Amino acid sequence: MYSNIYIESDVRNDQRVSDILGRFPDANTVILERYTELFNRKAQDFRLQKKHPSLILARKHDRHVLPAPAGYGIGGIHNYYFSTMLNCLYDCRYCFLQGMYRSANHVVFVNYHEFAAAIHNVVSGYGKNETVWFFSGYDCDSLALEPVVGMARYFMDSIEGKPNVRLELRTKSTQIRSLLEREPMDNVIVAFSLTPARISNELELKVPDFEKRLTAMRRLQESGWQIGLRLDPLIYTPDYQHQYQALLERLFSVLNADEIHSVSIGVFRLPKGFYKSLERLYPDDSFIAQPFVSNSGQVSYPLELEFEMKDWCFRQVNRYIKRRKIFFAEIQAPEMN
Amino acid sequence: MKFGVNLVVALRAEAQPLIEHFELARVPGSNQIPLYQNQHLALVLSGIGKAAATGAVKYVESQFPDRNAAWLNVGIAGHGSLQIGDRFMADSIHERSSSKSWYPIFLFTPLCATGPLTSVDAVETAYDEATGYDMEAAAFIQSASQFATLELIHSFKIVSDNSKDSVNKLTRHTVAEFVRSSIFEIERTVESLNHLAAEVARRKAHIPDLEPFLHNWKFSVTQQHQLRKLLNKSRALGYDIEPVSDSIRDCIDSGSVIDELTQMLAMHWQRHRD
Repeated sequence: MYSNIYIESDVRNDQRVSDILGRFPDANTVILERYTELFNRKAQDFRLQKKHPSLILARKHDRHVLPAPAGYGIGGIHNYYFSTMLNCLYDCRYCFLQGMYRSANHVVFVNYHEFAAAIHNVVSGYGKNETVWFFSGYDCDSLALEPVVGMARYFMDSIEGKPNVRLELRTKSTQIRSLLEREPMDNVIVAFSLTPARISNELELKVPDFEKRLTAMRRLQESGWQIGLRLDPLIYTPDYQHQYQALLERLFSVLNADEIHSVSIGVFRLPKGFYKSLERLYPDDSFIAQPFVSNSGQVSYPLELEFEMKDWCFRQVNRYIKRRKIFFAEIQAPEMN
Repeated sequence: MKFGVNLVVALRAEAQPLIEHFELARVPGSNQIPLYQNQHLALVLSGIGKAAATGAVKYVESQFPDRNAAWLNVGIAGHGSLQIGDRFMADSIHERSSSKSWYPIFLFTPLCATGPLTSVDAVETAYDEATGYDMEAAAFIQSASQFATLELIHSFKIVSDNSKDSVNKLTRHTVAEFVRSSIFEIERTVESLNHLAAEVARRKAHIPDLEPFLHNWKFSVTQQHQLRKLLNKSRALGYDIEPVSDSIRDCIDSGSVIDELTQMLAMHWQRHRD
């Protein structure tokens, strides 16, 4: 999977680094001082790298946990996010990660204990009866690399028995073994981002087949895990109603709708700067080429279309899911580096 | 679609086997910095040291400015742990004088080992560390990265001296033999780089032809950028914009052309939506 692995000298003796390297015995390893020497450098070709990304193992020194952007969340008041990985295995054309970094290489911060300490430090600032949410899967997919990095396993261990701490693992992957191997946790939500199969095939390159993901969701739900559905971003096509209707029918023919934790809905949107990066990266892509409109620094569909899609989608979801479990995602992607 | 690989070589003895193998012809007029080429390959004989490497890279670029080129530095190196005749490609290049480092990005599997390379200002004879030693690679990658991305810039070295075999024993003949015996690996590396350069060139070949528009209206640089983007988008959406159509031909200035194209695209998408 990885032919080249770069390791910060600071973490070269870390046990997690040894474990990860053990999975790639043939990879060429290079020691560097700071991952930014490679990752942030100018003169990199994102599209070429995306085909054969390298792995960079590093330590994150600060800002381990950050307040989630306004509107991010599923009904909680205190929302935070953390990213032990930068960039994604998948190649979704609409994703802000495509334009966020100069490099497509995957950075994994291996100092999980410092992230966990930061999480517990945040939690200690609240009362025992206040629920604090932590979202992973913002700058990466939470589970796609789980067999290699064991991120979900570590943080589930870390928050076990702490009912006022909630963790959302957001994913498009089918890597659920680390969850199935343990008892389900009331304070963990496994949230799957979904688009209709045809749209997924066109825009979500390298993402596992929809039916395989549905099987993973079913297995988790049957095992007692709480499943979230993230219809975000909603992607417009002339027959989007037909496509999303088919998606929902298929989902709820397999999943128990009453046991779904939450559904969030949000149309495709990107901060203008990220959208411009995507235009530069993929000038020949038909999705990016659509004449989106710019409003308040965000690029998205025209407002009337956005409202139409959200309203229609809400009504369709509401046929299966109670109103109080449906949320509108209005988040903005982070500022560009 | 122009693409290729530029070889940067310090010594005549290193260059000669490559010139012969790849059947490169001298570029007329390249007297100060000898330059050779065939269809997809150029070779510049830089001379020794970082100033020479920097000058050679810039010279090649000035001779072939439109070409999407990958860059390969080929030459001999001292080494702190490898044996004489071993080959390696640099996976990190450290410049001792500045303490700066570069990391060539491998998108292909090299046929030889990879390892660190340290560029020094004078011939290294201590060989203290398990690294290669040369005098050009850092300046080479620093200069070449102004013209290409780091996936397309690499350094291929053959170990010519180490703590057991002194650099003083080297002759022109032995240096040429080191390179000659590595031709297979060098050729495969050139092929891999050529493939990547071609991919970049293919992507750039999609840039639309602005000429019919520039011929009829005066576009500022910003407007040319907008025009290029609109033409790219129209093609991506399967909508052919014909510069001689009535609605465009009637535009009185470049601003109206941009507005008209923007409107045409929006209407096209609206029809698609409806």
